[in-house]
Amino acid sequence: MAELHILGNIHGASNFKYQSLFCRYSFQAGPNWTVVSGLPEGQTVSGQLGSSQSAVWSHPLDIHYITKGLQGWPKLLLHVSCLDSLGRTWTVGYSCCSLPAVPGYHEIELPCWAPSAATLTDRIRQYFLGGSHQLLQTDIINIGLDRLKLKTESRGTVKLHIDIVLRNFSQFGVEYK
Amino acid sequence: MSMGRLFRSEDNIAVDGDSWMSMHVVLDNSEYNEDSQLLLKQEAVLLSLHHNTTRNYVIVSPDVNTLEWNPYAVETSTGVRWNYVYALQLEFDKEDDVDDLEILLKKLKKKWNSKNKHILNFTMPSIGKRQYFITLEILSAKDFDADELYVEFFIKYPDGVTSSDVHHGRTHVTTSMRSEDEPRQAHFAQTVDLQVEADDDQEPAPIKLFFEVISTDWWGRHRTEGYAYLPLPLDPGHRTRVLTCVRPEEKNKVEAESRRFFVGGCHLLKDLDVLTKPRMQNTDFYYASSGTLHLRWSTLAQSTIACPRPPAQPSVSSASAVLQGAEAVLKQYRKARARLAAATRDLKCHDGGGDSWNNN
Repeated sequence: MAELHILGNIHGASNFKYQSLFCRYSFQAGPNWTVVSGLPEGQTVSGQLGSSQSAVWSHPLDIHYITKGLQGWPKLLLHVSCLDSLGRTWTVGYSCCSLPAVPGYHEIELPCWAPSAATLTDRIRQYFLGGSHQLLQTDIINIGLDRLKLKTESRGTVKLHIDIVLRNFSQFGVEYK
Repeated sequence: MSMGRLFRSEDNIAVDGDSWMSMHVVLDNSEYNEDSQLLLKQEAVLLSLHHNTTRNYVIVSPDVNTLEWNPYAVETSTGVRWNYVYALQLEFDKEDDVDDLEILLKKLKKKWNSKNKHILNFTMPSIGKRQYFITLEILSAKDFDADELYVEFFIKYPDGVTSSDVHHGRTHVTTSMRSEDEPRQAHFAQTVDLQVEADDDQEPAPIKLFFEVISTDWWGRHRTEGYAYLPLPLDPGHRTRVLTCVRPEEKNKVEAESRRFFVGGCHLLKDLDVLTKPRMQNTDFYYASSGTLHLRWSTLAQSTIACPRPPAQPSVSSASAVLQGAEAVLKQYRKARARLAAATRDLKCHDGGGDSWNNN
């Protein structure tokens, strides 16, 4: 059976306008894929913004998949949240990326977005009290080709440093580079 | 033709170190004189039993079969050629043994199937076809004048490439982000999964991807800010690309600026193919760059050319010895049957005599 190793770390976030950030992540893959070892979901530590306006997490990733088909190549979904001085948290960014299908080291930037305030009242409330609109169904982050009705705001970016290791794919006639 | 040599063929490397003991049932039609000295050798091997003394299994060659499978010829002293056929049937002494053997064989088959499940169940393309799996990401748009943007994309597949995926899609609307040192950028991070199929013997042309960056405003008006075209090659790999978006503008600068200021947007392209063929462009307009679109994609190709091969077997351990032995039996059996069929064809043509048999 073909195997995929994902090794690396979620390096950090930059250009978010919040002092303290953390990230919840989950790997999503099709029904052909099975996680053999590693945690496909997790949460980073909370990182304070440094002088370069970036928070560093260096959260390690080590996932081992086996698969019986190429459909549903794994994706990484991110929910970036902030932690304010009162201990409140809310989501400030969503993002998704498809993992590279080429073995080797990759530095990936994930641009984030968040649902925008629908009304002026919401905007004022969010400005003074914090909080944000959140997605009830997070499937929309990685599924759906027509999401015009979703109004969002662009947020910062998350950096990912990963190594991809493929095993036995060539035995099944798969070319990846 | 020697069965012993057949079993030492290049296909038998895995069990090369094994020792064998063989027994042959031979039809002897040779001519002898009164002192039992051989005058003319005429033999036909009807049945061979090969015992692998290392792993303790028996190969019966040919296997249990019907009459049509085993022809042989015998020529009489008068030169008349007689063609015969024979069948082979194995019978065990006790019914209990048959049941035990059946159970054992079923278990072995189950183990073999589970062990080779990875080969049997991996999704493969149709024979003669080649499948491409593309994961495209529309990352962001930068340097556009408008704040609220979305991207509409169209996919055109070339001749010879088929896909059941959709050919059109739209990202969400996002408000651009402004930072001090960087240009304003709109984040999308939308993934598009494509699965296309083409004939294996041809090199497919690139897929045509057309992008239209559109802005929305407070009044709900949608205006095209720029077009981009990407010929997406189907070569496997991971790539990142920055596309410069262009919009058609009047050649008269004042007229173009006035239209942009008062009306907004740009002239629309009726046929996006004009982006692929510059000679089709209207000479009354020129194309002004309006921003950049950032894309990333990975391509995988899968074909049936490379036959799946099982991974290298580990050295024989006590638990897997029986299973490995069974696999060796199956392999030997197939080889033996093929070689025997070839050998019997020779016998049919050349009197069936003069064969020499070696025991291992």
